Amino acid sequence: MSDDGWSPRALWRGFFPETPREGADAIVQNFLLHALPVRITRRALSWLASGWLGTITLHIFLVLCLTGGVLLFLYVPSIERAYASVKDIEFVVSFGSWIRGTHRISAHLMVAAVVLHLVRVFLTGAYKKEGAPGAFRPLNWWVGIMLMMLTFGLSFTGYLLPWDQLAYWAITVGTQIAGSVPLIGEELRQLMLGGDSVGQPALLRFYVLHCFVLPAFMIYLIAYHMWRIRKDGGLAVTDRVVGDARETARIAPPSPGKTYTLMGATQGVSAQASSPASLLARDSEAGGVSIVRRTIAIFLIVLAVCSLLGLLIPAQLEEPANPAVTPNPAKAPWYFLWLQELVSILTFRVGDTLVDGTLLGGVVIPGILIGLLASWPLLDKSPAAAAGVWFHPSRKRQNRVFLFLLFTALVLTVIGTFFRGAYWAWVWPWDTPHAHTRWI
Amino acid sequence: MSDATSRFARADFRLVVAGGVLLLVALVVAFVREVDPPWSAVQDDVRAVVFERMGAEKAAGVPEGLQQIWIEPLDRVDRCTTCHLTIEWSSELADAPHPARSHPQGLLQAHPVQTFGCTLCHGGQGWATSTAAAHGHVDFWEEPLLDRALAKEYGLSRANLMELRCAYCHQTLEPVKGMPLLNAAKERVFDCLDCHRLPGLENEKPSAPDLTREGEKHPSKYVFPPGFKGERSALRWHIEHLLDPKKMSPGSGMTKFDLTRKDAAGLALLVMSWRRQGLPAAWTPKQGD
Repeated sequence: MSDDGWSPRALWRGFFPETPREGADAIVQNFLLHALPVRITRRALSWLASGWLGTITLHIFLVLCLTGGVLLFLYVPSIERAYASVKDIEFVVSFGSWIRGTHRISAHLMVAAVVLHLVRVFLTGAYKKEGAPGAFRPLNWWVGIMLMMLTFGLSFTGYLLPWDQLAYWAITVGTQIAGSVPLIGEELRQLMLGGDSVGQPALLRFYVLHCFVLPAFMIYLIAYHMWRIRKDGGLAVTDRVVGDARETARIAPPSPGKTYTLMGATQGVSAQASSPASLLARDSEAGGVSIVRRTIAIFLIVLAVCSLLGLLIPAQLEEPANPAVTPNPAKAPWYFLWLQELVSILTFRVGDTLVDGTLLGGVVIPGILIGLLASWPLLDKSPAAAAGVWFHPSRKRQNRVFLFLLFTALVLTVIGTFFRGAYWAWVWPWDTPHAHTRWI
Repeated sequence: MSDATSRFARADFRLVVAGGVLLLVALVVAFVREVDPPWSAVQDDVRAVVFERMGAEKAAGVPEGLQQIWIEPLDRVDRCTTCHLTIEWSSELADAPHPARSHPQGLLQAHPVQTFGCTLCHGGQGWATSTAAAHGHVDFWEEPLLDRALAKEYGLSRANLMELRCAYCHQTLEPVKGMPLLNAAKERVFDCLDCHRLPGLENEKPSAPDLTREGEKHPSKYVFPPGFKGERSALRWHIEHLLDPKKMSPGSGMTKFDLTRKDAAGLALLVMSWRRQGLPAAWTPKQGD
């Protein structure tokens, strides 16, 4: 170190422990050395417990970051250039059509994976507040709900960017639903759009949210979500493994010793252990290596599947956005179509009065559902033994209600996607759609 | 390693291999598509035609790779010359099969390819690099190539149909050289002034819709009568409407003029050319052009 106190090491703030105590502290405090558990139970490692849906979702998100990072260099967020830049990505950029196709299909898959992950956690009761000392799984359930909303937000903001008719009108419909929130609806809509209608300010806002703000929140919350799993003592199924081990230990208490004879020549006593800890050790594997191996497998499979689907299902690009021409019907993004379908069901005419279902179907019902979802860990009165078990008998009724609501949303989504034509009238998917009127 | 451990390890290892193989397949397919785009075979065909007709030396001069004409003042790009590589070449290729055929010289004197590109006059999708997309016969593309098949649907020659696109820039009610169908329509159009407002012609008391920007009206805004037979297009609506106004819009007070189908097509194309020109000053055709 030079006399004036400056050292070249200041540029490179590595950690050079000077005492054994500092070295030991460094290891204890190092996050990376503790990101994965030392042991993982076989039941948590198996595919049956969780389907590894959270890990799959994370890796779809990684694929989205990779492809999105490339698209950042190519896409221009201006209403004059956006559409043309996407055409160039499709037609002349090397691998452009593939990268965009993969980004789009991965976005759809991520929405699906997030929802499946939520369904798994619900049906296994993995959000339950009863757990080991220091564990509080409801917190991770709430973080998960936030991550799901972030996923919808990322998908919704990405929808507008190509600036074609599909993008323009889906965002128009989506923000109109947001505008029906009582009292602050119109202000909320204007805050989202930066104006009265979808235009350059909306495009810029959605772009910044899509490429910087929401991914930053996403990365932070995903890291926290995964760290919470460690804090909560692993997957909920681990609690069951421990519980079962205790049960085994209770039923077959360790005998103090068993007498044996060896060919009748020698007699002695052996020690037999069946403590929960040792049973657990027998049913578990080295955490780091098993999880890293599994994660590499999932990463490769997810990347390969997304890439192949991106090749097979190229992303569409409709006509340039045209505020003067409303497509009939104008549909929200597919995962919001159950809400649009609800709005249409709840909008009807009694005599001369039109009952507008936008508030009820677009805001109140989804608001109640999200509120219920968030408060469920506090309302669920099933015993601790129901955590980490698929379809536990004590949770029969709540599982049925949950599956019924899920199924209803799914049916409404399918109807909205495939069975709705002009003026939201019923059409069959195999009916030839009404041909567009051409210019010439 | 216990039996159970190796069971998990083996299963995961198989997944890693499967993922790796799938990924390799995706990469190979993507790479093959990238190095062998559909236009590359077309370029070989063009080179073969040139070789056959003009010899090896000329064939070697046929450009390679993606070609484009960038019309900066209009913010347009035409990549048609990626396949139509020899479009500006000599008349030796005038009767060659497409896309090796060269363009007739007459109109190119006033409209050089390198300045005007292709789609400005012909229609089609200049951005595209595959035949179907470039010719605009795909979903979500509103300006298809004005080819013979399309002109035939209206009983017109291709040149007649293309007069519409001439008139996008040459917006004048004076006759313009090379636009016979629209010049004839312009002679007739003054009759419309009795009721309508037309571009550049004031009408103090119009009793019928203002037609100044009728060409901007989107096809989806045209209402066809129930049971209308045949392809629906804005052009067809105008033609049928001119021939029999009440058939297309019941209750219309418009006179049924004595027009042939071709007269009606000319008037319809003229009406459809009435839209904002949006050209930089340097690009605006001179009066009388």
